[in-house]
Amino acid sequence: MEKYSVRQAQVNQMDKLTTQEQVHAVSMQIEENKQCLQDLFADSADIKMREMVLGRDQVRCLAAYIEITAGSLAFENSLIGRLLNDLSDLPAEQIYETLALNGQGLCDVTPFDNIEDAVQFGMLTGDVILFIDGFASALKIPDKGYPNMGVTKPDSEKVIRGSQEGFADSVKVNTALIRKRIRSTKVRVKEVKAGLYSHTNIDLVYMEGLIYPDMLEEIERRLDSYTIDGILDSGIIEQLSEDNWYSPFPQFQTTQRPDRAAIAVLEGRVVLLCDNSPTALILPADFNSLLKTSDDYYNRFEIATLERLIRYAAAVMALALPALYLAVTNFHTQILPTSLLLSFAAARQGVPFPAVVEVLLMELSFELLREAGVRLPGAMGNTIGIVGGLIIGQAAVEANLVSPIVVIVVAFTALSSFAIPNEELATSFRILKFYMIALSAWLGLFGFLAASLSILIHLAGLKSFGIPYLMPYIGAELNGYEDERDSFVRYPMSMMRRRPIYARRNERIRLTFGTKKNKGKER
Amino acid sequence: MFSNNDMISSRQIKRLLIFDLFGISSLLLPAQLAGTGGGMGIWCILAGTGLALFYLWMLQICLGRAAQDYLEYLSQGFGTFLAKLFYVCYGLICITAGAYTAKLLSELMCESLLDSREFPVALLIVLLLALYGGIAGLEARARVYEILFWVLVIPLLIMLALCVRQVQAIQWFPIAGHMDEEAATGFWSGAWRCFMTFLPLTFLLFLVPNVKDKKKTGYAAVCALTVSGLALCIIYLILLGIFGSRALMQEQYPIITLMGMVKIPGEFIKRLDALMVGVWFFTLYAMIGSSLYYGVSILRRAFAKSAADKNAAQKNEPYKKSCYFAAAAAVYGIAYGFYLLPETEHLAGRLFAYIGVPFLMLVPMLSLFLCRGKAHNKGSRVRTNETDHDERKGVDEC
Repeated sequence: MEKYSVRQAQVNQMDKLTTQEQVHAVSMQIEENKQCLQDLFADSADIKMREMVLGRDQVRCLAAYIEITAGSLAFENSLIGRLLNDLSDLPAEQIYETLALNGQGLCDVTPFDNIEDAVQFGMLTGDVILFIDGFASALKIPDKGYPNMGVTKPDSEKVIRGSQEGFADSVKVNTALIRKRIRSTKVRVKEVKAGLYSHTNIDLVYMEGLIYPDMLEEIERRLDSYTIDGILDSGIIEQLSEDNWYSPFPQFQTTQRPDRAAIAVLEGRVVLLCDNSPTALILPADFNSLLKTSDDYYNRFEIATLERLIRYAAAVMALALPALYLAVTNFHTQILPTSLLLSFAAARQGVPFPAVVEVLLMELSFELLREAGVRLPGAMGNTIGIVGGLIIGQAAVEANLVSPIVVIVVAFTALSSFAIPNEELATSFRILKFYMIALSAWLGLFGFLAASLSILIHLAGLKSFGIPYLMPYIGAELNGYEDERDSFVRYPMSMMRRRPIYARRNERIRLTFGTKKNKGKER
Repeated sequence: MFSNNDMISSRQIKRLLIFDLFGISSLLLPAQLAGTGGGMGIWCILAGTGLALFYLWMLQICLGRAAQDYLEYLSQGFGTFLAKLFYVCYGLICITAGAYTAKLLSELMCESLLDSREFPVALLIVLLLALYGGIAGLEARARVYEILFWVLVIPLLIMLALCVRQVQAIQWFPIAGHMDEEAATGFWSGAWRCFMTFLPLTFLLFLVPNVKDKKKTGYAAVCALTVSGLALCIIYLILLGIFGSRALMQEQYPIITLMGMVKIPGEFIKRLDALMVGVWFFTLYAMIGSSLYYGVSILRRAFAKSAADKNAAQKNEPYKKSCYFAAAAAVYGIAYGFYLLPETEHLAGRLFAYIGVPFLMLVPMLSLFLCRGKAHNKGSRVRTNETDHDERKGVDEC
């Protein structure tokens, strides 16, 4: 009951927060507007308000902006500077007339009728708002905006062939990067705001006609199903919108690559871009798509297939290798040939710990090194990997803390986990590896089988926006077994003529050959 | 959107049934057939498969008539009380079959991979997995076996292929010896045992509301039965050719012993029985999972009072987890009882052979004469979320 009251109080507080805001119309008197702004931004040192005069009649005006987001007002290249110059010789009536009729043409001006909207959608988005005495609208004038990093190379998902552009922090830049790749009028960008205080822009990018409309509705419903104070990264949206919160497996595909996002849009999936986040979410996601990379489609099919098979094998080894080692060496030594068994035994001579402690020790050391490597600045991060991997490993073996074979197993497992292109999927395997180690150390191969089966049952029940997670290995018949052509084996490009199951049934042809009729026709 | 409609495809039915049928039959039958049929074991398998095909034909007619619900179909001919009583019997048979298979799997695991003292732990883990699979639903179980099919079949085929060179064809003879009274009894006993291991086909009756395409269901079941029968024939011939009938009848799990004898070229792995036992782990688990799933859904359906309850029971929504926990606890109790008191297992085996099997055969047979079934509405068909979705989209597009 008490729990309920606390929850109810929280909900009430949230409601209060959303409904409390009053609206102030923009006044003709500049002083009133200034006072209103000062009330709204009391004790805000970063808010700048600069009074000026405009035109021949010396009309008073007030430019309000957040420090840093606006360039110098006198600067010739800034829009506000140009606007002020254009208006400098006009009489008062003409200023009002010009702004009312031609503001958009002069410098992309957006008028607002009330101060709260002007602040929310003008000033706090990093633009300048201009109040003019005797003019009952506040004008939003785009300026340089908030500082951000711009387009850089993505940190993850490196490719040998293909674009090296990565997503930036700004949602608008990211949207443009996708549009740059798909220059079609059918690309739609739906903007949603989320976060009670952060008012984060979220863009849903998709291809009109390709996606199922109820997929889009479902995404919007989920985004609308919660109220949170702030959304600072797409990861927050991911966690709040996924079907199974307890699953270690990612139910959204993440990418920092615009070309990967563009591929997803062309497949009939939705790309969710969040402001201030260089990581886009792609939905729906399935296990197979998490093991693909962009250059799978840029390379020849033999290379792509080989790489995919290696990645699948790496995924299995990242999950199962230490557990299998423990099960075989502790319980079922009859599997191994005598010579190998003897060399294992010789390697373990002098090690005081049981094999499971050895493995756990090395795995935890590796996790520690990984975490330290990520947190340390650039060059030092690489150094710690080498120091940890080589020197500490060697020292541990020489000190008889672990056997060399365990170092090899753990290093091989680590290498395998790095071969998985999706970081979230690799992390889920890293977590589940410990579950498999625990059961295998306890019950040998039986534990190994039980752990594998439970993971498989979990995966079989998992869905991402209604799409079974194990598509196309299950339910492949739904799309005429076409999706299997882009799974373990990537068929030659000329044979991959259909879009995956995410696209609407009648819009699944993506490749045709020959006839002039089809050329230039958007499908 | 897609999925989560508790509907499974014909491919999934086929693969699930293959695992249900293949697991126990390949593990236990060869030794038993060598004891009863000797060299004629192969004919026993063929006869058992033939009987199973006849049984399947009967089930298919029932399936066709039952339209959506087998209980309603039975109620037409036997009355509601008897139909519900039959359902309770079906449910109890499923639970007991699940318990027997769980005991068998745990014993196999203890014998091959663990210590015999760890039977309760092995049984507990097997049932926890079955519980998890049951709660995950029919679709999830079907998907697991859709995925696992080739993963298990390919290594098994490779191992059997590697065994072939050790086969001494002379051990197969006499394939058809003199048919005296004793041989005839052995033959029919073997065929009957073979037929009994194919009785999981009965699950088809309760699968009706969960089938996407009923027309393909029958075909999928025939395929599953044929594949299982054929696999059993091949395994029996290989085992007989390697062990001979005397040695074969003394082995408890001859196929596992055989896996330990296979020599891998290069010998980088010495013995594979510990790894290959995984195939039977998954196949027997499939049977336990099916028994638990159908046991729970049949009993819930039998005790559902109203139409709303009936739908809820079919969808397995309310109290689903509690029912599965209760059923799993019952299965654990029965299986542990079988393990501790082997005479109870013999008794249950006799009850199943003399009462259970005739019951499973007679009820559908009698229903063919007594129940008419619902008239088919040719325009209607079982709708899946996928078809609904696509049709809806089609309408939207129009």
